[in-house]
Amino acid sequence: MEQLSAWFTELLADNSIFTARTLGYYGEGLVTTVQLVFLSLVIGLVIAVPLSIARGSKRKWIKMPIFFYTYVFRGTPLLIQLYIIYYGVVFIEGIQDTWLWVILEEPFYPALIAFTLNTVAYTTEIFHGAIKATSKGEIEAARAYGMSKSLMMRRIILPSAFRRALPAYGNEVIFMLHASAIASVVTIMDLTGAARLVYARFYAPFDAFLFVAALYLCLTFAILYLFRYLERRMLAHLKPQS
Amino acid sequence: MVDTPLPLEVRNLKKRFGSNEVLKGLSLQAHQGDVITLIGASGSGKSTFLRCMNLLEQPNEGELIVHGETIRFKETRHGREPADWQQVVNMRAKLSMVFQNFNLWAHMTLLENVIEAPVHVLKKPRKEAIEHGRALLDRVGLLERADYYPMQMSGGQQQRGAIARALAMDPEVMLFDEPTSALDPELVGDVLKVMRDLAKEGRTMIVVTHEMAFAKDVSSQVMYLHQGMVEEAGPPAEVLGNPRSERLKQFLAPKH
Amino acid sequence: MIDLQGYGPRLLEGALVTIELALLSLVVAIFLGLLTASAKMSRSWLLHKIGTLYTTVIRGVPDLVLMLLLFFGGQIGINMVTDWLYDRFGIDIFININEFVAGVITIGLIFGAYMGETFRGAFLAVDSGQIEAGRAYGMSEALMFRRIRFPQMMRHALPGLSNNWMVLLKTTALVSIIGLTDMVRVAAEASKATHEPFTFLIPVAVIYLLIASVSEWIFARLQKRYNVGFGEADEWNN
Repeated sequence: MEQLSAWFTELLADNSIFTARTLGYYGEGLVTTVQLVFLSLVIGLVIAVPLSIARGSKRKWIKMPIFFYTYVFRGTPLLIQLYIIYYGVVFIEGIQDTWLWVILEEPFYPALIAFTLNTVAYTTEIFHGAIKATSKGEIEAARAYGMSKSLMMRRIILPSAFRRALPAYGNEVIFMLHASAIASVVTIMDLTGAARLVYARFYAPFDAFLFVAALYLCLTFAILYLFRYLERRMLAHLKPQS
Repeated sequence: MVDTPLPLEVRNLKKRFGSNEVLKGLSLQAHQGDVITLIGASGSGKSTFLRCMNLLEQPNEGELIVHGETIRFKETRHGREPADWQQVVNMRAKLSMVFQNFNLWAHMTLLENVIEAPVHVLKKPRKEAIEHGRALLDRVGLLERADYYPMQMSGGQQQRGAIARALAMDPEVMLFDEPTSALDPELVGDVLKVMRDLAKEGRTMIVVTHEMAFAKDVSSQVMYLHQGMVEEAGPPAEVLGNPRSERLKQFLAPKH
Repeated sequence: MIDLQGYGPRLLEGALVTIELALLSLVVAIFLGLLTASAKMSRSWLLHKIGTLYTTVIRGVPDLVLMLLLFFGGQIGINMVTDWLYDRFGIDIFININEFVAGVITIGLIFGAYMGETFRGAFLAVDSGQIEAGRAYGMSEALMFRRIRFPQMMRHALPGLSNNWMVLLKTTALVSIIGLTDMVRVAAEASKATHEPFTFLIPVAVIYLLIASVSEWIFARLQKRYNVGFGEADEWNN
């Protein structure tokens, strides 16, 4: 252990880029990235579940606005959405004099809003697809056994749809992690922001970006394994026993 | 005798899909302990008739009386609909259905399938439902499969499990929609045996089937449907043993 | 033409850059994707490993980070090579990466990995009996690829291809960050200059939606074409 730390100190002393200070940037960036992604995913999930149910409604005036919303947010780049919300807020006449500015001055919040709106759109469509794919026979059985619509939704449709949606939702989580890199564009010091800072200071693109790429790769694998584990546990029922 | 209400009575039921009338006024009376088999070629309307009985399909005309209670309908823009869905829900809980493709809920184990509706629809205490459910699984020979998921079982096991699920509702009448048609021939026997036992203990059953031996041995009444009408009906010895119409004779003729 | 405070023509030019960039990147990505799929399905252990490494790394790292790495690192890398050539052989060349070309290569490289997965899955989905039948009728490998494997593979690949294209299209917006003047950059600059972000960003969003809608229509037509003979079967499944 001592040897290891000695080796590590030597390594750090040997290079002029990865000092304790720059590693600190990366550390703070990691925290910001995880916060941003985690918060937008959790809030997004809470909003997307009821929306995905309403998206399948028979009533046009309920499903059309939701369809329009998901179409727009899935059809345009997240960067544009971020710009619209960020600049849209910053340039509102007189906003800087109101109490709201205390919150909105931080670019973190416009970014959180943009990311949340974006993931809600994707998640809604993922769940909507999974709900639609519920076996007709299973729904019929639920009806035949006297289940009301809400009971059927709660006990049969949603539990099986959530399990089916798991792989696609795992992809969405990874997608959000990667998409969050653009937060650095509105001056947020996330992981990518830290890397850009280090690059700008030392003009060392390989060191700065390869290091951050490796960090993202680790995060991606962590998410991947988490979802594999969940799938193994929750999709066991779909595997025929041989 | 006259005072006990019939478990199920259907009067003059008609069903149209667009301009195509598939059921042209069918009636049926199921007494306690009756086993009524519906036979006929595909397209004769026998499955649709069965599905109309618990309103998985909405009949356009006709009366449905379950245990003396007449189901109320109302006219809407989209055609006739049940006036009171709560009444339908109660009715469905009394008529439990077994499907051709089993339709077990794939995300639940077999035992969870069996107790689902008793606990959440009939509001039975969970513990009681589990006890009852396990007894029923034992009856159909699947107790050791209680914690398996449907996809992990053979078709015959799934169908026997589905019968246990139907029994768990303590139904007035059991509806069987071609319960053996989706099974491999060697698995049909086990399912039919369970159904024979049910008939023996006096269950009221309405069965759509192609199994003529079952119809002959077990039913109290056989109805032969052709193009949405009853062509012949009566005790099996009469209808199957001595068919009057040419069509039924052909239908019953052994196929090679 | 709508003037948009003088930014109209520049926005239009930016839109052209976006479209050209997306289409050229698509070509690179499809080419790389077919190569990757072949590598991953090949019997060579090394090719298989290389293919897997490429798709895993690319799909595990954000597009923007890859773009920054290749864009800023690429120039330095090339400078290192040219310096070495000069020192060693006295060859004096100067290569300055053009931003547009860098963008095409970077996006092509990223989506080559996704296309590789799509094509691999699609090739594997082709019924092996079909290939056996081709072999039984004396078709050469090349003829079989052209007449049987490729057309059947396309049927399976099109949904993934269409999906990749939609994501690629949106990814082009990132080049504005590394300094290419696509329509997003024009709109962002105009927003900052005029303090009227909606005037510029909303039209750009609409253009993206338009391109996406047109693409969707084209892919639906293509899908129909490649689904010939399978249509009825699909109807039954529904």
